[in-house]
Amino acid sequence: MAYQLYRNTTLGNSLQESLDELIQITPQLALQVLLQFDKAINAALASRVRNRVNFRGSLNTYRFCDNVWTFVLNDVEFREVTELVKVDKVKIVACDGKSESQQNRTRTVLVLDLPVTTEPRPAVG
Amino acid sequence: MKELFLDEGLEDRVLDDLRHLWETKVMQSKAMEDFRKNNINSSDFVLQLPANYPRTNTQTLATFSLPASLAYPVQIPAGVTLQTASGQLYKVNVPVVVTQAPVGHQPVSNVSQKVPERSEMPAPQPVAVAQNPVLLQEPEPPSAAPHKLFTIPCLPKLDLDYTYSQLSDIVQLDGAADNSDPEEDEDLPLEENDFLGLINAEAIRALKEENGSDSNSISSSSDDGVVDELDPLNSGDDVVEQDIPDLFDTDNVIVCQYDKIHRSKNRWKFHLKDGVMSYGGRDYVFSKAIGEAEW
Repeated sequence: MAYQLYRNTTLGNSLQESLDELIQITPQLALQVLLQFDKAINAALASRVRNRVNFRGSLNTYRFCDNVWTFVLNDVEFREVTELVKVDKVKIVACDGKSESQQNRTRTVLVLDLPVTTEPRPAVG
Repeated sequence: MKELFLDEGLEDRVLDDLRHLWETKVMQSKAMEDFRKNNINSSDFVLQLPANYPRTNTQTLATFSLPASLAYPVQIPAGVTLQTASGQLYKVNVPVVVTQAPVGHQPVSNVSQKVPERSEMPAPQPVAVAQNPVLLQEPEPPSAAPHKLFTIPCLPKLDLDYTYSQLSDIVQLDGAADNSDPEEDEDLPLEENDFLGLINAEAIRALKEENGSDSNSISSSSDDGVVDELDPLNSGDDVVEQDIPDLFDTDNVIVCQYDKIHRSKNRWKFHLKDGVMSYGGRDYVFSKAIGEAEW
């Protein structure tokens, strides 16, 4: 199940608005579209994007709830190789990036190899 | 996705409509400026004034630039003010329909009734609007950019009633701004298209908030068109309240996943990945982001 996190982006919001505008699209179908969008955007971000950003600022608030971090930073400077952008206020919403990989891991089976010695029981006799 | 749509009994056309609408909105958002610059098909529509226009006999063309990805036909309802690149303002008093010609990719307009007006006109000249049908004209300039022409049959009427919102409805991305106050300046949210004009995003927001007293003070203080999204909503508030609503939708927002969040005393370190950032009206993406902040 891909994160629905990216629905609140420009892309995602415009898609949702477009879906709302076209009345021929039933709500169920719209939901399918959005689910497909979630899968696609997650896959695209993971595979097609390959750049790195550094940033520095001051933390105003932080919140960790349901494994989702929400930060509000002030006076942040985003630095990429090509450019530098400064903003007064930015909100960061971050879902757990590690658990996704955990979900994909195969289960490990623990095999205990205990030495078992059996001695033939003396015949009753 | 097509199979899903077909399952519902819908045509492919609906899917294409959706995609087109979606792309239109995304382009409109200006968050993808580079895409738009690469779009050489920037379409202008040229406003051709009739020969009997009293003020100007020579200058008959005014070029407006509409976003390339607008779906035709575009309807411009009455009361909309358009501004040319040269800064002149024209008011549409009559509904205009700008259509795209099928041949030669020359968009052509059908105007049912239209009256332009020059904002520089000092004296009002109330004139009856003639009911002439509009002529379709092909533009002279070179073929790279398709043009839409429509002629205005009548004399202008001075009317300082700028209501931009009706046009905004067509191309607007951020919802309906249907309460434009005629006394206010032209409104144009940041996400709008190429229409120049007196941009007054805070006036729109103030109208949306329907905060009567605040909006009047805001509109009067922002006649120069300064766009500052955060000020109007906090202008009357305490300092404390500014800290609380951290769920502003005007925030620059980053949506991502975290690899590791670390804290030492009050120093925080963020290791983030696969994120989409939106700030300064533009969108960015990253595969990794590392940051530091002090609380």
